[in-house]
Amino acid sequence: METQFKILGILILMAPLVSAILSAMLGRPLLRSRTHWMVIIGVGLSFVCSLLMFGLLNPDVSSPVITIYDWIATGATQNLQTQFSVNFHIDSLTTVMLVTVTLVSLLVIIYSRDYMRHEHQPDRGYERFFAFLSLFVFSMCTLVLAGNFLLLYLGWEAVGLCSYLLIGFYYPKPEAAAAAKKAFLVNRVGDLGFGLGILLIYLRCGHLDYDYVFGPGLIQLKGYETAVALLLFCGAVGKSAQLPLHVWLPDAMEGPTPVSALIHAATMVTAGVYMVARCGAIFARSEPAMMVVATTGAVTAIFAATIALAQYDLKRILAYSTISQLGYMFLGLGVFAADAAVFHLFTHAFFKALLFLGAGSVMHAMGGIIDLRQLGGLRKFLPWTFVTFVIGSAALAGLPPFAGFYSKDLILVQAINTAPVLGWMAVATAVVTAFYTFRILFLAFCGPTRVPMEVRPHESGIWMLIPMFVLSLGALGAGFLFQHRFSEYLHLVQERFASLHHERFSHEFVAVMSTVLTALGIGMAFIFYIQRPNWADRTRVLAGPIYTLLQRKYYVDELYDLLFVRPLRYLGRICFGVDCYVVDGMIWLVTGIPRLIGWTLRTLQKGALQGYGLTMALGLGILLLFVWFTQP
Amino acid sequence: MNELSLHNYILVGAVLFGIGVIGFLSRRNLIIIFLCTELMFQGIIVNVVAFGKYHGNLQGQAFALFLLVIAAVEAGLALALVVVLFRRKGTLDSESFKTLRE
Amino acid sequence: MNESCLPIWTYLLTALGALAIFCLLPRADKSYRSAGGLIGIIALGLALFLLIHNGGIEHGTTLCFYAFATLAIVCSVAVIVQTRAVYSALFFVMVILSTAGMVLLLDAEFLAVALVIVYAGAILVTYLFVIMLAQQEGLSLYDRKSRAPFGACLAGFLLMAALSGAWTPMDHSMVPSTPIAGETLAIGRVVMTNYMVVLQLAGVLLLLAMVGAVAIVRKRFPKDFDASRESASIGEVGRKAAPF
Repeated sequence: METQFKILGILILMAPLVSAILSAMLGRPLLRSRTHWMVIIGVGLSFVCSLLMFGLLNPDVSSPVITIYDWIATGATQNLQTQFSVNFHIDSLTTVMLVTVTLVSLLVIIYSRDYMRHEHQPDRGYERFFAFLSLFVFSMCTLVLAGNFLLLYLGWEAVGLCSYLLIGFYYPKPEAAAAAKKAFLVNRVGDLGFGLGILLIYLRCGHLDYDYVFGPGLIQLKGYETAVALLLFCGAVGKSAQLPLHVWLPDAMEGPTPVSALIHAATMVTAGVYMVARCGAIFARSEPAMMVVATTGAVTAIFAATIALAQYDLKRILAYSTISQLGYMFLGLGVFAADAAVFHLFTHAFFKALLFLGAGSVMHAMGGIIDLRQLGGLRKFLPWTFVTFVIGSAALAGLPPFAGFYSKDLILVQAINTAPVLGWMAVATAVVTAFYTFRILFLAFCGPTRVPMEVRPHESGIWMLIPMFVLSLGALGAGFLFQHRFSEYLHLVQERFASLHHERFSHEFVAVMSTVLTALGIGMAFIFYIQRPNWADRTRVLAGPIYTLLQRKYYVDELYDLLFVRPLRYLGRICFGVDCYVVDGMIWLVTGIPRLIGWTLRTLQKGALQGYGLTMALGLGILLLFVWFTQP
Repeated sequence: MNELSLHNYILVGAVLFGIGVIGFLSRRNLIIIFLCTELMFQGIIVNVVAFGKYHGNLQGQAFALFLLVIAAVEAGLALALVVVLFRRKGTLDSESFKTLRE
Repeated sequence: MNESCLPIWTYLLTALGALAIFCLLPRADKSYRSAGGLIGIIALGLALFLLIHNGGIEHGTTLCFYAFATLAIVCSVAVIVQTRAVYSALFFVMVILSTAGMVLLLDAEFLAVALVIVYAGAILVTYLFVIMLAQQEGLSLYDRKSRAPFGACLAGFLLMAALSGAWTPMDHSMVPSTPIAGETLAIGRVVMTNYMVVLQLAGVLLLLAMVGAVAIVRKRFPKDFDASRESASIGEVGRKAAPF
């Protein structure tokens, strides 16, 4: 059993890594436009192994820890672990995450085969793109499989690096370069807290292995749970784009669309949710930390959803919806519904990837146009994309048979019963979500065609449609099929989160209510954008400053610019000035002395032989006289 | 035979040499500069011959003879160079030949 | 000449002479030539007075020596202070003649004659040719303006003082010349025997100088070669071309 897991774990990790290295090395000289096969094979193998691991794992048995090799051995210090190894912690959470990550990544990579070919000349980074994608999958798998915090941190940072590389894929474009930098820097802010949290754990427990920290280590952590949990949550906030640090995610839309799908669905933003779920044992011991997690989640959810109302960039709206949905997940984590949160992560991966791939398909068809005001009536041109987009939108909005409904419902029930205020905020978010989701759908696919004359929209190729179909199936059925089994399967996680169940609102009541409200939101969107298109404009005028506030994303970017970017830039300028004038001045002074001597002596070197002769004669005369006079 | 000591000749030779040095260092016409070197040669010749006389042998005179040869060689080559330089620059100003500076 | 007073007087007189030359040297703006001449005459007169006062003129030879020495010094000063190169050359002939006279007084007849023939006859004529070839019309600035006259005079004075004043001879009388039959014959013998190799080398040297002079003058530079070199500012060559 253990050996099997060991082999599977190594395969899951090594297949994407090897394919990344091979496509990076052989891509340009040999594979060229066939590079994607290398990566598809690698990630496909990884997916198959994940499935096998999923099938082999018995969730009722205590999770196995598999040590691969000793990584770092430090000198003996008192009470501290001195040996760090690369080990895998395999339990139901791990396998669920692995299957989700590898499946969505595989589909996105298959989709990229055509998308990037049309987007990009084969000799201008096609290989690079696939190498990075593969590396991304490897990083995420490392993060998920990690059996100790050190390896988790490695995967965590590698994911950040890959996101930087892929967001800045079109690096000659200044916006892309800036977005990549922004993503990386904002993530650093969170990672600082994360790193400190890990150090605090190490200081208190003297151990970084999950088995120890979540077992006997919890006693040693006593009194520090809140601090550790909040520090770890900092990292999650950065990586999963929660409220104070969400600014990087919308800008990350500068990357190619498949990258957005990957980041939003599988490999990047889910890392925060996974990490909090993984460390649930620590979080559950601290009431304030759980409160912070839940509040952050709920506030982010409504905050991002309202911003999405006033945006016109298709991909940006989807980005804000991701932030909003991640807020749901954190809300779920914060109200002791980790299984619901992970379930939502699972379903969300399907429909968000689907929506992004659909957006990519639209972009592909429209020749890069993504502004909702320029789209319209695309239903006629892109029938398949339309169908899949409807499924994705319904899932995102949370309509009953679709995946999003079940997972969101679980979170809502738990939230309303545990923290009513936050729960009702989440319910309000559901309405807004339904509204903006169907706003996209109606504006882009229905109504009159506003497509510019010169653009000829066309349906995407089969390679792009197949992943969308598969994801549609997931968005359709994942929720319905797994709604009961998921919680059972994840019961290990559930167990750690001591549930505080005192039901005020029954499951059925919440389900019906949220469905009605969602339908209400969809109906409003229908009225505003199909029946009475002028109402939307009138509302916009009526709302006035509120609309502007939403459109400018609550001025968060401007606020950060004012609070952090500018002072830092001024500080940088001051430092530069100090370097330029003080330090350089001192160096200049030091060099100035020999320079002055040289300058003085140079006047003697005029190149005129007579001058040299004069000096020589003078010297000779003085020397001779000196010798004669000093002779005894 | 006479009261004229070696010292007198040395004095004259030194004065001639010194005047030549002054001219060599202060004049700017290349031709005059070379004339001044010949002036220095004169001082040396007087000196050398006087020393030969002082020691009562012919080595001084033989040495002066070879000095004469050197002076002729120097004059020939130097004047050839002066002609070349004049062709290149159209001037004989020593100040304008400063390529040694850089 | 009194030995005790000799060095101080020598220094004083050479200093005076250097001052005179300093005043006499051609200058573009102002001219102190009359003052310089006056100082020079005073210095010379003082020197002669001192010499005659100390030693007296007992022989015709002594008189001749003083005359030749004075002439040589005056003419050599004239050589270096003339603004026109032709006059310098002509005064230089006078220097050679008086030097030849002094050499004659030292019983070196052959050398005196050789000096006149080689110098005045051959070398000076070459100089005159070059002066005619390479002379610009009128007086050029570089002829009218001397370069660092004070430093040059100081250096000259120091050298003169060092060379002349430092010699305080114990016994300064000449050894009477041994009556060698025919000075010229003796010189010829010495040169052809003792200095045989040197003589050959001198001949080779003369030949080389002739060939070299011809080669140098024949070589023609393209006209723009020099102009381009001059137009490049300092360090420009190194900046444009690869350092290695």
